[in-house]
Amino acid sequence: MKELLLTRRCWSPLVSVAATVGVIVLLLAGCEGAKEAPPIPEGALRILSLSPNTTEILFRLGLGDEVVGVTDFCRYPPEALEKAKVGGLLNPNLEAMFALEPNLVVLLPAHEVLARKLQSQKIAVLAVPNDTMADVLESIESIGRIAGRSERAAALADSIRSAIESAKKMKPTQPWRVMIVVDRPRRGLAGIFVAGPGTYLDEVVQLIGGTNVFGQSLARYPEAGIEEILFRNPQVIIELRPSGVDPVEATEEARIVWRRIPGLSAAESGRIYALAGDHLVVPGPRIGRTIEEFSALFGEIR
Amino acid sequence: MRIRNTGRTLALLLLFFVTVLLVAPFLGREAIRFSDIFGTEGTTRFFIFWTLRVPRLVLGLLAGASLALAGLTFQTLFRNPLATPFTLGVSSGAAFGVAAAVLLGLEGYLLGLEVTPVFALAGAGLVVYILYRLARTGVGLSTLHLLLAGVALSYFFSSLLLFAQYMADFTQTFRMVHWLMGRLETIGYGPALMILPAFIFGVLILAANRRELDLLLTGEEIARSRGVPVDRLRKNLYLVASLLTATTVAACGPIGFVGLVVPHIVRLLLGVTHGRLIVGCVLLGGPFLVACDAIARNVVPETELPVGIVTALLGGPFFLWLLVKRQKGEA
Repeated sequence: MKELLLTRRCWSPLVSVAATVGVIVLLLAGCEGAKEAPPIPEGALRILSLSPNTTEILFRLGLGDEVVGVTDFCRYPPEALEKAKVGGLLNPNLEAMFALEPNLVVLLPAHEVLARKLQSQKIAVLAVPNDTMADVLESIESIGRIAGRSERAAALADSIRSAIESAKKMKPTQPWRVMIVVDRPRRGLAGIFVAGPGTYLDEVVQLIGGTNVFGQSLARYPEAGIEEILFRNPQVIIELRPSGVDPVEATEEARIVWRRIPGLSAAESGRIYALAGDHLVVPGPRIGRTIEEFSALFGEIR
Repeated sequence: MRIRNTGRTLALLLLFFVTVLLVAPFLGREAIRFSDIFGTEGTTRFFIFWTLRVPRLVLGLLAGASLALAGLTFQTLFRNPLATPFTLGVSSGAAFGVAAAVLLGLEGYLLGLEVTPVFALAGAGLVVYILYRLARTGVGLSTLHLLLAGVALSYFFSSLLLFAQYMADFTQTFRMVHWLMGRLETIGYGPALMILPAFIFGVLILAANRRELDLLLTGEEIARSRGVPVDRLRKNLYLVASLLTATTVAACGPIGFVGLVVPHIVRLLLGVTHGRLIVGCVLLGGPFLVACDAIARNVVPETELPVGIVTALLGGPFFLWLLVKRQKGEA
């Protein structure tokens, strides 16, 4: 009897929780359809850029003077450092944004909640994706379109397309199985993050005739345990390091660290390399350079 | 009735311990055969077994037992069933230490030492020290005041951690959150060796004080009237439990739930005498964590889930089942 009562009492909150979740899901689904192209702002542009890759695109399209604010993480080109800062992806400062009186905000799909707040104040918002190479091209072209720089945008996109085409022609000595490490603590082998499926780094590897060993994975940038790495056993490891790191030193360090794992194909053959530069991890207009650097590296691997 | 059951229950716990010990290292992405573990050094499977999985097993056993013992001690010290190893802010302090290391870009190695655990230990030590000084000088050693001051400190350092996360780069925040989930991944015995001295010391001190702990549980006045130096005992218990917690958190991150629930399960199985409880916590805490980790490593083959996600998912329902079953038995 006691149990029966307990069961009945437990049900009613469960039902109400389920109902609430259902309503929220319906509301969210309803909001999904509200996406439309933002109107082109009138008068002189005052652009706020909320991601390092969009900042790079804006400056490359000659819109540097129109940019009024950037994030704390926009470090390229150097002129971007002189612009007003409005926080980052996780800590946006809404007041600082409004104070800059922008009439166009360029941001990422991840900023959706923020985008709604800006739109509610009649500020034009352009959300551009930045995961794949196609995303980068699309970002360049749609920013060019809305800011009246279509021709420069087309030229920039074409230069990236030609870098892609020439990378396709270059065939490596072998269809190497590659692992791209985007983050690893210095001298450590715990907390290794790699490029997974749906990332432009995965595409770059395929483009130059390699296979990304983490091309099948649950996350786009999964954390890779040592056992998992041994299981997938890459023949080539390429580590990406930030600007300011000496790639020669970083390569030496990586080779020493990975050699601690016996049976790892890349470590045994010494096919471990480090590339340095922030452009490697910013899916922006410098992606052509990233492709060229990967191609050059692949040409050397024997 | 109870007494006759105790022997059987202890035997079952021992069986669970041995089973987990023998089975866990063979579960994983790469199938390991018996011939592999006696194979030649330098082969991949030999390395996976002896450098990845066995150290991980040892770390899990030590961490689980340490957390269970620390939880047991705090629950008795505060006579509060909700006390956990993290109630007094030790893990918040450790987490803040890790956040500082990440923010300062100090991850990796410095002077041959891995930086993150050192910072975690320093953060945990800072909280323990502040609270100890507070108890000695300001708020006094009253149990309630110690508890309240500890909870306040815990919130203070949690806020510092949130502040650090908010100010950090996206990837840095990601690493801090990952650390908070708690994990047993290790290469070699470094983290296990970090816990071992504290574990041995803790078990010895607690075992030596098992009768005093029983008396403390019945009430401070009763304990005092029986000649227990209550203030000194409380001070020592606080330091021992904090040491157990701090070293474990520094080595594996704040793995939740083990410290809260394992002592309760042991109490349900073995009664409230601390001599048995200490043995039970060691026999159940370690294998429980290792079993959770074995599941965490194998349930999603692509990636290794942090064990902290699994402990409550698995332990929670089991504990509820045991609770209901016992209540029915007593009614």
